[in-house]
Amino acid sequence: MSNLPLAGVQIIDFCWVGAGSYMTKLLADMGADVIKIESTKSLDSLRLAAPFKDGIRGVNRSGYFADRNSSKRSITVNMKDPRGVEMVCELIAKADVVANNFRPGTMEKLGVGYETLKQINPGLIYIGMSMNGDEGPDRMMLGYGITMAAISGFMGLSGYPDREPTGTGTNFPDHVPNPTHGAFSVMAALRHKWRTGEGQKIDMAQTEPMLALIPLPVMDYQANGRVATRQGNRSPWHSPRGVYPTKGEDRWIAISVYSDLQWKALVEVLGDEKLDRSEWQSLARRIADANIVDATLAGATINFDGYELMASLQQVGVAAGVVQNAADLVDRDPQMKHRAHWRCLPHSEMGESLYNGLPFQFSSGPVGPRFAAPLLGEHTHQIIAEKLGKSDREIDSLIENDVLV
Amino acid sequence: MAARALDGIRVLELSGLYGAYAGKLFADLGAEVILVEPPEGSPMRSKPPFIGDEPGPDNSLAFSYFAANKASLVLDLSTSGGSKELARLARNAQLIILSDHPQASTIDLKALRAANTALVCTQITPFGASGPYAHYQGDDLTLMAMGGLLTMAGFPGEPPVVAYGEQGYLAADQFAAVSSLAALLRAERTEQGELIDLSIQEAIVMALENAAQTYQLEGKIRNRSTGIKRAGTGIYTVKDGEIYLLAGGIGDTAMWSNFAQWMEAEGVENAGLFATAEWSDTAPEAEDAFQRIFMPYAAGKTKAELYALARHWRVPLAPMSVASDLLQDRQLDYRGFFVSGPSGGPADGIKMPGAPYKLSRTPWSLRRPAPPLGHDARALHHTEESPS
Repeated sequence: MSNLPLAGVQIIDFCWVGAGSYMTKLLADMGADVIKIESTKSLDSLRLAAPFKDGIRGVNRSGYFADRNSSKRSITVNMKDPRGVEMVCELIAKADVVANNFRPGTMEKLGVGYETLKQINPGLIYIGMSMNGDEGPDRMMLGYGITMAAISGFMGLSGYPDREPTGTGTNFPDHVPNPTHGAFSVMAALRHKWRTGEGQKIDMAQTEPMLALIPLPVMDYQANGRVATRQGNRSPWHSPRGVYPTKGEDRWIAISVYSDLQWKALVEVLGDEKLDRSEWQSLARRIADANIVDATLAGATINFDGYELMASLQQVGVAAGVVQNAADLVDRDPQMKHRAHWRCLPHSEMGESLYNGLPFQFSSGPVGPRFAAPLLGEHTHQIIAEKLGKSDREIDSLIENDVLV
Repeated sequence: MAARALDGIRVLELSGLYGAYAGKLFADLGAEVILVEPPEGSPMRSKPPFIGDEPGPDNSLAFSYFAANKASLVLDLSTSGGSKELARLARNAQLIILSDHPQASTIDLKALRAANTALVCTQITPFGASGPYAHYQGDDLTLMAMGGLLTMAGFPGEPPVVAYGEQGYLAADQFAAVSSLAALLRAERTEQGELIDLSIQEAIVMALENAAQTYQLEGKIRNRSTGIKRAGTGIYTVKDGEIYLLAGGIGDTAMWSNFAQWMEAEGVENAGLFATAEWSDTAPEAEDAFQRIFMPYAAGKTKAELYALARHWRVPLAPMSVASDLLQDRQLDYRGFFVSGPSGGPADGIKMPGAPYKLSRTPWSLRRPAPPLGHDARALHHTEESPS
């Protein structure tokens, strides 16, 4: 495994809950040694977030926590005890990266603010990922993925035009925009460190990657005075483009038609004469008639099995995809199986449990989760012995004295 | 001039309607990104909306954002001359990003890698380079369906609805950038290149929150939930628009007591209810009770006022922003988030999103506008002709 791209990179991880832990998971899955600083006195709330193994709540039983913390080690430290802070600082002195997603000022209160740490380790890369960033009048606001989706405008633009916004039904910024941007910035800073020896501070406001991914509403408003609106599944430049019912309860297929040739092929596959109207052979007319086209198409697709229809449409070059749910993806999707996306990793309390692999494959060899999420404090002995050279007896005593807890 | 983290990295970007954000992440931290375009130009140049609603190769707002900081070179890869030129460029490049370039099928990444063993090549395709769906077509909508995010978005029992702004394509671009940079860091240390095969479907699967584990551990399938409400959670109409409120927080956090204190301090009638032991935000009548108490108060306050009060009382609440809100937002303004399109380009003076992260020593920078088609041909040929 020493060939993994980030082998040898040491990360001290104070991240909690969503986006931050997902970022360090990406780095850990690619080979970084990530040490998660935890405490029995103040839990990462994701450890108590559903789902749980067998539905039984417990700090080592959350599947949500597990998936966000693969390939990491966990140490428990009481940061209210100066001896705890001192040991963490010793770990940081030898590390490349410190990561957190607290509100501004929290790391300083714990005694591990950037100004302190850069004295200990001038080459340190320090990333903070609060909602609004480290500076500015609203820096102390607390946020969740879903409130970031709202304030960025993303939620308000997702949904049907004439209904209340729907968003994604998830805390979207936590799962893609913030983990990937955080990881990219940390790796860029690593390159600079390796070239110059210099560390630096990265201030990432979790609202800003989401905004960087939706540039057009702001630009179109200035350039053309246009206020963006929800478009549902439609595109103003293509038709049909939508989600249509198929056989079965609550089963749907997404279809996107980009050319008149594809439309012709779609009509042939569906074999429904109501669709075979000469005027609909032109894109402009299909766009103008989008409501009727969609309704007529829905009347035809409902007679088909979704997967069979997808295969038939794909065979004639039409983009079609079944609306898959978690069971479809985990149990059946042949492409997920081919790419071995889902990884079952042994965990001492949860047994064999399910993890996301990474969405990319390296030709040089496997890359992805290396081992299951840690139990709370699972590696306290190992890390303190390995990094700080303390004996088992010393470590036991620090546990008894409420320091390594 | 501040140092640039990715200075000295040359990227060849062979993109179409996706792939460009991956290149942008590299370009904005200092890499030299060359957009290799077909003779008719990148498909993104034709993507509406246009500046002044006037179509034209340099007028696409999307192109002016996603191609800023990049150079442009035209190569017809269907000709042997074009292919040879690409091979020559690839010998002096560190990274190739290949997505839906119109001539993608002519590009042999394995051959390019054989000629430059430290080269990292990242290919983005709808379902991955091999496997039963490898030959399937996919666009953002159908891939969001196949990737499992679509099924969670919308109203129960009704057709699901896709996220705004092609977030499926962009998820792939983001993971492409992450995997490429990781491989590049190794290549610079060991001379070992890499061929990376990235699936858009699989990038979308990364966004499923806890849905896969909820199915595996508890046998439950997460589905659409808009309209099924916990009291005090969701979108509420206020004086000048809408807000998103998460009065109870998530999980076991103590947000209701904060919310109750806020309401009581404002003299809102009956707000004491929220601090009582009987209050349960999942009880059947709870949302009605909540609205009777909160809505008359909210109707008299603006989004910005409520956001400021929520910050004070530590309640998760956010305005449902529209473009004009974002351009006036005091926090984004303080941080200088929106930046004017560089002078000399068609988007000159139009504000666009700026740095998604602030690196203290190697800051993000916008240095040049999106290039006119083939703008850098002369400079790049010259470089290639000089002995290296």
